[in-house]
Amino acid sequence: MAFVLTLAFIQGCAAVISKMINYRCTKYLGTNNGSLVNYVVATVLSFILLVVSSRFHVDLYSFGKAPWYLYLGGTFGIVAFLISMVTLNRLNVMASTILLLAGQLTAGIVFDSLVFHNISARKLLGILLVAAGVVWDGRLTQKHKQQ
Amino acid sequence: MYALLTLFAGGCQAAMASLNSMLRNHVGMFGMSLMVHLIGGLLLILYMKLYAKEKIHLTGMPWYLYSAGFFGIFLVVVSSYCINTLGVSVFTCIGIAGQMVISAVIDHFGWFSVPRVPFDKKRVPCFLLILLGLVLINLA
Repeated sequence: MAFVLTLAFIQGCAAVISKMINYRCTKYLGTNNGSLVNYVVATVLSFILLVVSSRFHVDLYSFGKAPWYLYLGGTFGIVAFLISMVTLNRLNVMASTILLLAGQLTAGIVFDSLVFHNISARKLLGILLVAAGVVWDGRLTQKHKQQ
Repeated sequence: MYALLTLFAGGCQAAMASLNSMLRNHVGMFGMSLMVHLIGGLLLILYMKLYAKEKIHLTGMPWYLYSAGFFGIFLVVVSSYCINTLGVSVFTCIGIAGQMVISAVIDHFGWFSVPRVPFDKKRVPCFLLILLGLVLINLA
């Protein structure tokens, strides 16, 4: 359990560095091409890793056996990306960060209770405390920037 | 209106994360990463060609910026793995804590040539509140 928690924390750190790299890509290539680079490199690299890790015997049957709707993940990702491009210029960064977080957590709680069945009152309280901490910190740092 | 859209985008991200973690159980981590990035990439190309009418060009950056793709794989593989045990909402909370800590560290030391912003001690109670929330979640 401690291992998974640490991994989740590291993933958050990696997400920030990844965002900074992606941002610099978009400075060179524009917003769309800069994001496309990420997808193209990741597709090629995943394919190589898939082939090598399966020792050149990719189980194509398992791809067909997976329910079709599980493949919608990439679609949701692109929808989120396009929305964030449209809204980012119209909302301030803090507002959009908090709204994204609220959307993630609300949907997350719904999925957890419907799909994974692992939500409890204490967990819910903890999630609310984390959200409150993020909002509070956001207001502090924003006030600091305005001064 | 834009606020609602952004809220919806957050929901999409959570949906993506849970779908990816379920897909991983069928096709393995690299198979999942391949399908997610392939489908996402094709949709983005479609959008650029049909709607934005934009030319595709991917060259002309310093070589190390191409590591974006490596991070892309790392993020989907690790998040799908963690979500299988933690669930989406708890995973999101811990991920956010990680994001805030590393952002504060990067700003404080001015890493990656970002402008230096020393850590404001007033932010300590916010971090403690988040920590308390995380402890509560993990005791549950």
